[in-house]
Amino acid sequence: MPIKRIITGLFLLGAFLPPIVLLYFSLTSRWPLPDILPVGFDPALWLSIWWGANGLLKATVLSAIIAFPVAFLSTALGFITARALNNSPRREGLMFWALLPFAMSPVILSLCLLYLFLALNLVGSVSGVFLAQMISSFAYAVIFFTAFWSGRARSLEELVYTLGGTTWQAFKGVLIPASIGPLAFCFFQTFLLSWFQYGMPLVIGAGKVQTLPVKVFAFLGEASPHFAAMAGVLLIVPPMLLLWFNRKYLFEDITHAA
Amino acid sequence: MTKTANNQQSPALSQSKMLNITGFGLFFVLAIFPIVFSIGFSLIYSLGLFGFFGTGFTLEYFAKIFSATEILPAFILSSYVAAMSTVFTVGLGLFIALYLGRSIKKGSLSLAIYIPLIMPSAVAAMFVYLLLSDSGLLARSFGAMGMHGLPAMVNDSFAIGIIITHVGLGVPFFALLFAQIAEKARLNEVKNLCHSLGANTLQATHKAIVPILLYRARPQILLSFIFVFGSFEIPAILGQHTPEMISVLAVRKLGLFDIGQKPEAFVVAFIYSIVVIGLLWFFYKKRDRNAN
Repeated sequence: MPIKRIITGLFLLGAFLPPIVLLYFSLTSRWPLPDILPVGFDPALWLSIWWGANGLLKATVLSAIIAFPVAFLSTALGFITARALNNSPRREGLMFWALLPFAMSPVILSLCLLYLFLALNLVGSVSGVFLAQMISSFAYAVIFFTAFWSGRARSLEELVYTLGGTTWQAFKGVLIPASIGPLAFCFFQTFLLSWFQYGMPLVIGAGKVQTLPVKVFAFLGEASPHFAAMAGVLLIVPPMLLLWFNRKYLFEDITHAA
Repeated sequence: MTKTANNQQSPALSQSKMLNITGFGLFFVLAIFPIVFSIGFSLIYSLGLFGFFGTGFTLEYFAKIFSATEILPAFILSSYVAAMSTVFTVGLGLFIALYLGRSIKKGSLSLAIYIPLIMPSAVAAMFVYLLLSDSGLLARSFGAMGMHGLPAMVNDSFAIGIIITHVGLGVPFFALLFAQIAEKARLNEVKNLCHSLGANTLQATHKAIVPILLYRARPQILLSFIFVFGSFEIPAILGQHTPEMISVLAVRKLGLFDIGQKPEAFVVAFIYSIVVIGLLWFFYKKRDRNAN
């Protein structure tokens, strides 16, 4: 029993230490050697965000401007696309294609798509980063909803048609209300995929689209761990809030989500 | 009667068909086309058929895989990191799921287990850097106790920092996954059956429970390997300069002032894509065979 407690304690330490350390670093301004912990406790550093001095407010707003539409559109389009794939006799083969954009490294995918985005004049623009992030988020949504459509949803849709309903009526009156849970789950997952994404803003954004993860790297490169920690804290605040209020939208069924 | 029924159904059927066509169109534009373009473009560029150095067909850049001191070591390092991370992640995930069992679903552990899952890779890597670097929290703590010369765990040749970060982020996922599989597959009943057949707990776990869990979690284990193999943020912060992991190498070669190295970036990208497709294809084929 003590071993179980020790393992539990280690696990709790490993889980809670990173956010606590990051928060502490974000509230301090210096870390001289040989001090173990940073000194110069200065909560006013957080106020500098509102002045826009370090670009963190702009980065947070920009990350949100990209992540919310990516999550909304990839969920909606993934919902429709998964239905089409599920109705296809070549469902398994198509699922393989759906897996590729999700499984491939975002940074290598962006690198290979860079010339296409250059030709479309999208490099270094918010719309370019948005479109690039749609590729991996959309793939996730398709994979997620294909499992959903192969279950009860398909039977419900067929029942509406049998009763004389139209496709619009099936979606509006039955399928969407019955799918609020999976839709919300997919929305939050794709939001996080976009919110945490670094590779695509780096390559397609070409340094001009400074999202929060890009800022983390920029501050680390400038040897400013305190500002990097601040950017890190801002990155984990939305999922932390979600975890606190309703964790079922984050990880309702991890076997299904995976 | 049949004619009337057909007339009533036809608007729904045509709308449904339209929706299917829209779905396939979206799938082509957002999934198939980007992948085909990526692989095709990286191949054309690395064969010298496009770009500033596109002077005609050549295998010169592909030959650099074996001659250059960067590309092959990058693939070896990425495979090593992915294999080690996957083994430790799955092993520890299994251990926690089996040993801590239900306690991961209640109390403080039920909240704590989700925290690493909402940690972005860049932030996790930053934390590990602050903790394990030469002037990090651990080195300073040991230094304060008079113990110096802690082994390098960041930017080191064994990629210890990279592996620790990947394992830290992955273990809670696999612990939850195995716990859910165990519940859905009613492995407690399997365990009881093993006991009634005379097996002890260790034998039941080793011979029945663990193989079932690993078999059911094959797709996630493969994806975990693929994600780590192509990861960028963590090795970019915690990796050494030579050799680098493939994603870091590809991005560095693309962004170098020496544009002569751009084709090599696409060689790396092409080989990486083929490896990922090969792994997924192999898994798909094997799964189909097992299903049949």
